[in-house]
Amino acid sequence: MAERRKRVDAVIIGYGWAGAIMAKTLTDAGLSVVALERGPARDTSPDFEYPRIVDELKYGVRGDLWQPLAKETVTVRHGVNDVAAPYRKYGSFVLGNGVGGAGVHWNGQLWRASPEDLRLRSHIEERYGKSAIPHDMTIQDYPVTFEELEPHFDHLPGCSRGPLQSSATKPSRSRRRTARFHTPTHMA
Amino acid sequence: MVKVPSIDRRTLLLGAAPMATAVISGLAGCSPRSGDAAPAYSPTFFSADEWAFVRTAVSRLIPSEGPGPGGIEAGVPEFIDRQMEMPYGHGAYFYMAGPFLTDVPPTLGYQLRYNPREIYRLGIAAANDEARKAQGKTFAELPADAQDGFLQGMEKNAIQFATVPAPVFFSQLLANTKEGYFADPLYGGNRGMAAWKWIGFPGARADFTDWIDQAGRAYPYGPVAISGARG
Repeated sequence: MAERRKRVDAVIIGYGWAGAIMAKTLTDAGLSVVALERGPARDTSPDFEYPRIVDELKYGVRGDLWQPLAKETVTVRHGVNDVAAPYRKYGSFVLGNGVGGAGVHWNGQLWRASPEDLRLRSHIEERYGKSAIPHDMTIQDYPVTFEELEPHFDHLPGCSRGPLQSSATKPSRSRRRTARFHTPTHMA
Repeated sequence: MVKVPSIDRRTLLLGAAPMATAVISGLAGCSPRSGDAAPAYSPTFFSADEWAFVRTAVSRLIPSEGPGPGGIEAGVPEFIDRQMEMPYGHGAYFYMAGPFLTDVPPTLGYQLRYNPREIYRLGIAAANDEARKAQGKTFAELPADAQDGFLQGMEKNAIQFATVPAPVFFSQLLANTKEGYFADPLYGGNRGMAAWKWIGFPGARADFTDWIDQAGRAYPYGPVAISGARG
């Protein structure tokens, strides 16, 4: 039977890094928010307590924070005429599961897009001519510009606490960096 | 087969996982296991014949001779037997339902119907059948050189199994051997944190912020296990 819950201002589907930042932003603005996430609810304690969480076999190799493929998986094929096969064992990519399932093992680096990254088709055409891009290559400019995004790039380090600050956003290659970083950033 | 006689096998095993081919090369002259000081362990999953195979194969993949602890001394066979009784052994981490496609490119990954328990059970039986057919003995009864050649044949699919493909069985065995050697002692392998001590790995420590700005200074602490035991 369907469960009827109290009406809220906003529902966020997927409580990962992006969903969590949106939830914080919306609740800071005074809205009531519900976030939906598959798998278990987890919190820093006890779920990520040291030393259990540094069990490499359990988490790094077996993947106890990942989506159990036994329950649900995707299929993969290389071309539209191929037969898609189930993704049975984790290999080239992993899928997070539960609150913190991807975030806790996520080790990505968020390089700011450069102005050229965001208008890559135009940039390539201006630099190398229209013939440089084969007609069947679907590369497009983004519908937003660097100038529009830059305030948001600057905003992200302020949303997080701790070591994430030094690694979550990298200085822009454009040399148009405006915001100060909370912790020192090593320049290459 | 890559021959790297000047580098011992464990160095290769540690430094270059993709070089599994080289791991089992250059074995001539190694003597069979002796002096196994490990506490007695009675396998739950493996039969006596299977246990002999697992112990022998582990002793060839990470031998007792040379620097560092051998796989037997580190408790790797015990680790593998215990894993077979865990959800992992039963395939709980893998999508195990059909369809089982047979004609897909290897880039789409594992597509067989066997869980790890079945891979060992079928793989060991097939290996001993093949060894008996070709050399009149089970794998564990072969001389060490012949065991190494047999493992190499499995890895390269030069020895054909009717059930589980030999390279699938070999890679399962090698992966679990490495896991048992390096995983926390909690799982029955890496006994006494011997593998960690040997490579200088500090174990289940998670905070190195005091050391980030001390480049070049040796980390002074020995390994610690999840249980809190110190090596």
